[in-house]
Amino acid sequence: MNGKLFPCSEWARQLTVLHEEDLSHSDFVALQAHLDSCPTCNTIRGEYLALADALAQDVSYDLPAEIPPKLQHRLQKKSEYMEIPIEDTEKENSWERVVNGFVTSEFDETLYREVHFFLGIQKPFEEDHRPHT
Amino acid sequence: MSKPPDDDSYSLIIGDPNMITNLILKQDPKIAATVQNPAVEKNLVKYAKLGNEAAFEILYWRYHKPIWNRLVRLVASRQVAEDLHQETFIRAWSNLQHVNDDGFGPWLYRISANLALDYLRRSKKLMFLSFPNVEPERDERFTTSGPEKYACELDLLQQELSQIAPQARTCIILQDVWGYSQREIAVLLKVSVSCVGAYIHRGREQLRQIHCLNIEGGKVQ
Repeated sequence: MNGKLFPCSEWARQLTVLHEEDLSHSDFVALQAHLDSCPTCNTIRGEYLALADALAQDVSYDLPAEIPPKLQHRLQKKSEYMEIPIEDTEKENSWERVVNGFVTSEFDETLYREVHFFLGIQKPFEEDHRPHT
Repeated sequence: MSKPPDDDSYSLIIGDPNMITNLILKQDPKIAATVQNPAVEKNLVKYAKLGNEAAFEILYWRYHKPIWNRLVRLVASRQVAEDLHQETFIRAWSNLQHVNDDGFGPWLYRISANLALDYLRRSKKLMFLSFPNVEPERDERFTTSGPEKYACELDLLQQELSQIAPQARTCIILQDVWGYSQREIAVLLKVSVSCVGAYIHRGREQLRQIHCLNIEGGKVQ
């Protein structure tokens, strides 16, 4: 970076814009044309973007490892009187029983079921206990 | 459709959203949160709205990191960020009925931004005067000499940010880290778009100059 470089005064403000929506289409096109013709503004624009990227980098190394206790308490409190609206629970369980014998992870299970569905086997995981007629 | 969290570790799973939702609700929420599928997220929000704690836990693990990153940058204090982080999700849980099923992410970021900005205003760290009658002032929260020495843990860039006006710093962080446009920042801060543009312009150039000085001084390689 070079602190002795200064942008052209008439473009200085547009150079700091990150989002295209903050410039009209015609302004954006004009800015691009200026950047193509002015190496100084082009360099400074690049430095602004580099600083913006550096700022947006991950600082989550001391992120809380568990759900905060206060939030956990709230979740439990509300759940005491709310029903869990999962549909087709029985179907899901029967599918799990069959699938767990063949695959190891939940993602594999998803893929396994999807493949069967794609092949036209609509209910490949349900056990049919009805007697044959 | 809601924005996915800004993290590369999320896996795109293609399949029937209802089936995937039912599947991941039975998994460890931390693992389930790595599934990236907008339709599944929509289902999770729908379930969470009906009181399904597991669905909300998955949403928590999906968004807690981007929320944390944004808050830490904006308030520059681990302790404050931790409180605001928790409060963001508590408010989200309490007000889920107000969110569109497919707009959870942006809604959560907005709650978080408002909480952080309220904190900055309350603690007199942020006051918007009519531009340009604002002189840069040093903010001790951002320096390594403070009791928490938190800036040092973050990085030199945070220290450099301390040397620009708090208004400009806030606008820059909201744009660069939170991803808001200048128009959105103006709404959040209740100031004009041109005011936001002016702060960002001035602050960004100041930041570049400070960074250049640090490079010349050997603080940055």
